[in-house]
Amino acid sequence: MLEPPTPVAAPPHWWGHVEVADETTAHWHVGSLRLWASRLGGRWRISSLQDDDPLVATLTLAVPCPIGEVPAVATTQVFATSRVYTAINLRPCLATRPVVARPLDSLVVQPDDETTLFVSSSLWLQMSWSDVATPLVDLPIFRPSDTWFGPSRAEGELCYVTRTRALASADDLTWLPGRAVTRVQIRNRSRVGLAVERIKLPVTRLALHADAAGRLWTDPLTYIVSGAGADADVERSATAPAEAGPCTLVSPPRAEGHLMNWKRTLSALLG
Amino acid sequence: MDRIWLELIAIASHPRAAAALRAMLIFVVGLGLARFVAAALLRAFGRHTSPQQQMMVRRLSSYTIITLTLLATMRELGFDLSVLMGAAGILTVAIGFASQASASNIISGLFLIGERPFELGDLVQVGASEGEVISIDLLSVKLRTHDNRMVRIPNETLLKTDIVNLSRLPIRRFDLKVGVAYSSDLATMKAALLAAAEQDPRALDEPAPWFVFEDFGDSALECRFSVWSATTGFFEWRSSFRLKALAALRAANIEVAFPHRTLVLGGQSSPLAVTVVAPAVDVATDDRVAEAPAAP
Repeated sequence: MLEPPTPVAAPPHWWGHVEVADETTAHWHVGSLRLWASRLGGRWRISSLQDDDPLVATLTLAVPCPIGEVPAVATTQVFATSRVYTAINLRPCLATRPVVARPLDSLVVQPDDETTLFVSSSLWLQMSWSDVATPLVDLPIFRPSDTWFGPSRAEGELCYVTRTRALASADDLTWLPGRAVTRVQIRNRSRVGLAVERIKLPVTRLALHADAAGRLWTDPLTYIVSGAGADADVERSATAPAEAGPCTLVSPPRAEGHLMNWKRTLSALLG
Repeated sequence: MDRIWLELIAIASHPRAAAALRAMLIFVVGLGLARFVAAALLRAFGRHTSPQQQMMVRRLSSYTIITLTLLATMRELGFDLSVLMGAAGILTVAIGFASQASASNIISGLFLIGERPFELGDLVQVGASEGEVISIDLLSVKLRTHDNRMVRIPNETLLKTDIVNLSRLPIRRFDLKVGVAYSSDLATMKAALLAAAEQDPRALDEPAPWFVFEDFGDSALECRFSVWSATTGFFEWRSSFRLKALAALRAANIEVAFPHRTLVLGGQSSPLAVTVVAPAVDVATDDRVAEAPAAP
């Protein structure tokens, strides 16, 4: 159950700056992703290992941890620098492509009516040196499957897919550390029922916020459908949803731009 | 020394020498201008154009400025351009007759540029050749094949033949053709392949994978499993998915068939004659065959 949000000065972050002493390793286990950052003089060795299970709820941070603990099967990259960086910054971000949410059960919005859904999508983790903006690595906590979204197989966009229970209440959400929740409002202003088979979440243009409990929310979205088979307009609010309470910005949108030009792409969005 | 200097001044003040200097200056400035304009255009439009468009802009601007520079240089040298144009016309006709193939390739190249069936960097299949387009020239297109061979295809050939652009569209379908033994359960097979596709993040969720039972083959139930994936990295993914599909079929105890024949003797046939080629062995004296099954 979702606790009533209460403002706190320092939310329980698992992200942010971590000081790493020389010849030591920091270790994060966030959902399906395990990360190690080893500081070795002028080099940083970053290793990652992903679990096949998208619903892992583990959330741990260990500094220092023995270097020998990094499994041999982990993917490792070594970053060399002539400068001295004593800290590493971990930042959760939204996906690198839009996410298509497919409700597990069919959902129909009645004519001249509206509904609110809560949809979660997988997060990415960016790791960077303390005062450097360009990330060293940008990894999915769980790599979602690819899907195609568009009116034809020649016209459209490659997206990620997520299955959603399309919950109507935030209280029913199961919070996982590797996922962020988007509140989606669908307004059906047409004279026919609107079957919602898939919803394209333009997460690359959404910011990520953290509530007082450290749970992650995206900017909320509103889809407005005016006629049967017509275009859907989408509106984005630049603040976290009211359900989240007081929030802090964790990461800005990956891509800047207005949502107005999505109108044509979203013509096949609903139903 | 003064005499040499005076002679140099006299030469330089000669009208022809002055014209030659002006012509040289025009030529050098023209060449520099061609390079500068091409670079400036690329800087201005480079971010919003494809490599092929950049190449066309660069060549078009360079060729235009160089042609104008040459004409201006020749005019400065005292050539009568109207006579030159007339001679050029006659020369063009003569060259045209002598080099019909080249002219055909040039014209075909213009059509290809206009139609744009492919661009630089595209992966195309032309006849037996498949590779990346690395150059689109006036006479030919050059491909680099997967095994790093250079293939030159004349533009005229390209205009007449089928060109398959393998990378133009962002997603592609992979048809996995599998023949399984007649004793196999196709429902189990379909479920195993669908699960393999679902667990592979690069196999597209939409368009959905598709299982088709195609035919009763000579030695197998012939099936096809169609899966879509992104065009980028398609070849690597296709190989990896074959491995995953094979593992899934083995895990589901689905026997992948191979060609075989079953020999059935009719009721009216006499028993099949069997000839023992190896010499008979005395089991009692030969330890090596002591455990061998007794001959019928």
